[in-house]
Formats: sequence, structure tokens, C-alpha cells
Amino acid sequence: MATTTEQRTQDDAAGDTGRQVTYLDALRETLRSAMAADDKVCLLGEDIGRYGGAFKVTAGLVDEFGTARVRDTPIAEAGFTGAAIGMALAGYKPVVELQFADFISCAFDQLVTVAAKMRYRVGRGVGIVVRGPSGGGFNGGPYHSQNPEAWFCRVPGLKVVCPATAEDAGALLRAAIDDPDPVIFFEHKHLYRRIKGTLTTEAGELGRAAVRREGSDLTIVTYSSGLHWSLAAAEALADVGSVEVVDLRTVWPIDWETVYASVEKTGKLICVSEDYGAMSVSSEVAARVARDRFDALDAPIGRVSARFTPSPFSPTLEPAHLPTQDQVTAAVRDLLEY
Amino acid sequence: MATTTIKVGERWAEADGELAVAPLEGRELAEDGLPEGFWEVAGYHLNLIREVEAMAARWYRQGKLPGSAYDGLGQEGGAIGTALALERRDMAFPLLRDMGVHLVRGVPPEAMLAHYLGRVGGPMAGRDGNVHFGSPPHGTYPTTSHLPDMAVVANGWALAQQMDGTDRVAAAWFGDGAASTGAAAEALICGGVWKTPCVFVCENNGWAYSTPNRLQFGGTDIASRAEAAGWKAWRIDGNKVDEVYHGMREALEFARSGAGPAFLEMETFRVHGHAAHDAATYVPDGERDRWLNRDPIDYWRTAAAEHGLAAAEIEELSERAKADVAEAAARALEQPYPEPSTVADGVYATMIDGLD
Repeated sequence: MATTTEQRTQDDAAGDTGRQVTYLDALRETLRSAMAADDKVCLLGEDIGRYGGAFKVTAGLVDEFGTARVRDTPIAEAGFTGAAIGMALAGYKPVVELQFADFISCAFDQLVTVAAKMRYRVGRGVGIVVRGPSGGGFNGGPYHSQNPEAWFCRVPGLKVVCPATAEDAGALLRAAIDDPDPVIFFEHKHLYRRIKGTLTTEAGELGRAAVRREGSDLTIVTYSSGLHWSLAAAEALADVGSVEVVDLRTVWPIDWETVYASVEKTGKLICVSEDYGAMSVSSEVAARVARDRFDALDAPIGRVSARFTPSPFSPTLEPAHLPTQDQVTAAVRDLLEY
Repeated sequence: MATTTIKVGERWAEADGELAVAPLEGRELAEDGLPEGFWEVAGYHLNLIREVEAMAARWYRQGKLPGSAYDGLGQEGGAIGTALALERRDMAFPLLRDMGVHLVRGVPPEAMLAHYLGRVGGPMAGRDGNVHFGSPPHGTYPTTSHLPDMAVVANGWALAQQMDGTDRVAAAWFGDGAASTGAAAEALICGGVWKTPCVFVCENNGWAYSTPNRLQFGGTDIASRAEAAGWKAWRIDGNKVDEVYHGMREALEFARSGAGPAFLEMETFRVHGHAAHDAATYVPDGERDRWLNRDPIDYWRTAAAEHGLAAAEIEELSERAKADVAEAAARALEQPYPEPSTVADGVYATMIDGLD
């Protein structure tokens, strides 16, 4: 294992921007370049130092930047997330790693009570990033598979980012680090080593969606893992209709301009997410489009999402909980044929 | 209602702690270890915070105060004694019974009183009220209602100082009730491991709202929890302003030296209820009576006299505090309210469309 990590680190160091990297390597390279560029950028989290993190996102960084800036913490999510807030108030740009996104519930109070409201209450922003792997599909069970993004989208003061591509993993993480407000950054663990993209060290733009596939008959609004189901569905149904796929990227605040422009063009909308549908990013998109672009719609708004259950463990139950490629494709087909 | 469009954080926006005051910093120490002028400065501030809080309570009864009124009557010795030991460059994260810390740090009473009224007083511009007051330009941050969240934050502020190589210390205040939370435990755990230059002041006033110590924790004290986490800890009398000052100085010196975090448990008593609506009938009469005999301002009057302050001077300090607060209250009542159209200002660094 150690050899693999070292090898990977050397591979990373050998390359430069413009090369193809995995989603996970893009995260690491972005952390590295942000830390190299600004010594106020520092990392806190469990097992992120010598061990390199549970998923090895921070592998090798402690050798480069030392144990103070790549800080192994006690298992105290509230303790180190709150510490990151204090560091931000003292001029640092801390990036907190949650071993699994699920553990963000342990830091909820610090994020929602302290970080989110600080600027509004006292005029001082808390520029922290809290990042961690979310999402299911690997029998992680109820506490290693959740998609907690909607919990935070309804907290004034927070921004929530869910990158779906390797390019975005890097560019949006950089933007999150540069952002003066607290940003929650949910990486999809299924994408860590499965997709690649071009490495960039330039910051993307938070709050800006991307049209990943142009089309004229139907709009899919999605993000994170949902993008990949959506693109596959669009491809599979190319003979049935022309599908436009909008990747929100930042799930709060949402880029309404891009969403509305697409719906105006296609007249049909379906929201695809791995998260539940109820009280979700998808439900907000549907409600806004129904309110603001009702006249543009030619069909009821569709939705594909996880069943409203905890994330089950068993190999027979988890697929029954998560949306599947077949469900996404079938729902898109139905709406195209409406 | 007169209003203003002044934004949150705009008042004193150019200052980043530069407005902080440490009235006794650098003064010569007498044989008893107290800085020159200690009894005057301590006495003025003890009376000042008591008068400020009495004004807020009066406004509450008169229906002038939105929300409720909270005070730290009987705990002023702890707040003032600890705050006086801070240096200018330190950072304070006080709690609801320690509002006197803000005054020692140089916050004008008028700003605090206007804040109580929901008007634009300090940097918070009506975004929060009552005891949720803080002024980063003066080196203080406001508490939240979720206690002791800001102690966790203070520990991080202190960690940043350690990384920067400064000798600034963060101090956070909380009570016996807040000490029961996971946040308190996690702050102690993290601070103990990282050896942060941080001081926690735990005011054990015996009651968390209506819950007495015996229903709050099973051990004999709170300081031993800090010791178990690797903090240097002391237990002191919180109603004697000079003892508090000495204790806090020792704690601050320990933390400032880089030896690690320090924890001060202060025994004190909350004379009033949790807030103005709470008559605290649950406190046995005997207990309150015992503590009324240990009032921190009475103690100051006696001790100051013993240290050579003339009776007239003692009276003058009390009267001056009273007059200053009366004047500040009149000015606070003249302050404008925040303009309703500014309600969405300051949620994010840049105004974002489409949030509603």
C-alpha cells in the first residue's frame, strides 16, 4: 500500500497542468498547488497526514507541507471544524476533510450555527472549505453512503458544491478555497478513481452551471453522480429525442439563468439526483421552474431520485434504494414521448 | 422609527482589533502583584457593567427592549477580573454572563445598549441582539446560543497564533451548563493535543437555567475534566476581582509561554434567573442569601478601602459609572434602527440574486 501511495505521489509530481488525472488526483493536485501558492491554506482532518486520508486524497502532502499545515486531528469533527472557523477568523484558509461526508452531522452545529451566520451577524466572513466523500453504490450502509447536500442548501450563508467531473473537482475546489464564505464540498466517492479529466490549477466559478450536452427536446438538471447517468441516458435515447444535460455543479446557490435558458429552449424538465427527491435540490429546481418558467413547460416536471429510506447495506437492498441507470433512461424516455 | 442603511460590519470596519483596550497593560505592579490603579479601574468597570445590565432590565420591564434581558448580576467579579488581565492583542470570546469583558475591551456602553435595543450600535447592526454582542474591532466576538460553540472557535484562533508564531492568547468564557456539551469536550480534547495558547474561563455559577450542579455532572468539579485533557487547570473564587485577576494572569502567562492551554474554573453565583422572565424560584433561599453576602461589588468596596482608596473615591467611581450609563442609554435610545431593505445584506460576501 505504501509503495502504491509513493508511486502515485511521484506520478503526480512528475506531471503538470494539462495532463489527464483522476477526480481524486485533481483534488490532491489542487490542494497542493493552493498550499504552495498561499501558506495560509492548511488542512485539518482525521488520518490525513502520514496515512494520507482514508481515500488518499491528501497522500504525500504532509511530507511537502509539514504536520502543522496537514494536521491530523482527534476524532472530534465539531472540535476541528470549529477550530478551522477560528483559524479563518485569524487569517487562515483552512480546508477540513471529513473522512466520510456522513460525519458532517457531527460538525453540523459549527457549520450552521457559527460559520454560516458569522458574516451576517458581525460582518466577518468565515472562509473555510469542508470537504468529504459522499454517495453510495458500494454497500457502505447507512453511515458511509449518504448525500447530505440538501441539509446545507437551506442554510443562509453556506455554499454547497458537488463536482461531477475531474476538471470540476480541481477547479471548483480551488474556487471554494478562494471563496470568502464557508463552502461545503461534497466529492462523490464513486467518481474518485473512475473518471479522469484535464488538470487545471485555475479556479472555476462557484454558482455557475454547465451545459454538458446540448439538446432541444428535453432538459435534465442534475449534478454529481447524476450527471453520468444523465449523459448515458441522453446518449442511449439519441434516436428518440435530443436531450440537453445541465450540470448544476454548485447546488447552492443555483445558476437559475442556465437552468431557465435550457428549459425555455426544450420545454421539458426532469431532475436527476442520487439524493432523495423530497425536500431536495431537485425539488427546489422543480418549484422554481414551475413558478418562474411555467409558460415554457410542455409537460409535467419529472424527477428521478433515491427512495426515501436510509442507505441500506445489503447488495439486494442498496440498488432498490438508489436510482439506477435504467430508471433514469426510462424516465427520460417517458418524458420525451409525453 | 428612524432607520439607517449602514451595513453589518461597517461600523469601525477599518479596525481589526486596533480599538481594543487593555486598561492595565504595562502598568507597574505593586507588591501584591496588582497593577497600579487596579482598584479604581476594576471598580469602575464592575459598576459599569452592573449599570448597563440594570438599564437593559429596566427597558425590558418598560417594554422598550425587544426579546428578553439577561444579566450576570453577581458574576461581575469574574468577568471584569479576567478581562483586566488580557493584553490588547489577545482575543476574547465572552459569554452571556461576562458582558463586562466587552466594556473592559473598550466597547462604548452606548454601542452595547443600542445593540440590546435592536438598533445599529456596534458592528452587528441589529442582526443579532441582547447578550449576543461582539465587536471584532475591539477584539471580541459574539457568542451564539449554542454554548460553548465559540470556545471551540477560540481554540482554533489560538492555533492560528501558534502557527503564526505570535504570543497572542485566545480566551473563551462559558458556564457549568455549557461544560456538559460535546463541543466543550471536543475543544478540550483538541486544545490538549495541539497545546494551543488558549484560556477557558468556566464560570461555575451553580445553575444552568434551573438545573443545579448535582443534576449537571457527577464529578466534584469541572476543572478536572480539563486536566484530564491535558490543560493546566485552577479553581478559584470568582467573586473576588483581585483573586480572579491573579488567576487569569497566571493562566494567560502559562498559555502565552507556549506551555499549553489553561483552564480556570471560577466558583460564583447567578443572582438573577436565567433571563428577565425567570424568577428563579427554584433556588433555595438560603443559597441565594449566602451568595448575596459575597457580592463582588461589595467585596470591591471593602477591598479597595483596605488598599487605600478613600470612601469618597469609591463613591465617585460608582456614581461615575452610573452617570456614564445614563448618558450612554440616552444616546442609545437616539440610535436609528436598521433599514428593512438591508435585511439581505451580508449573508454572503457578494450579494447573490435568486435566493428567494
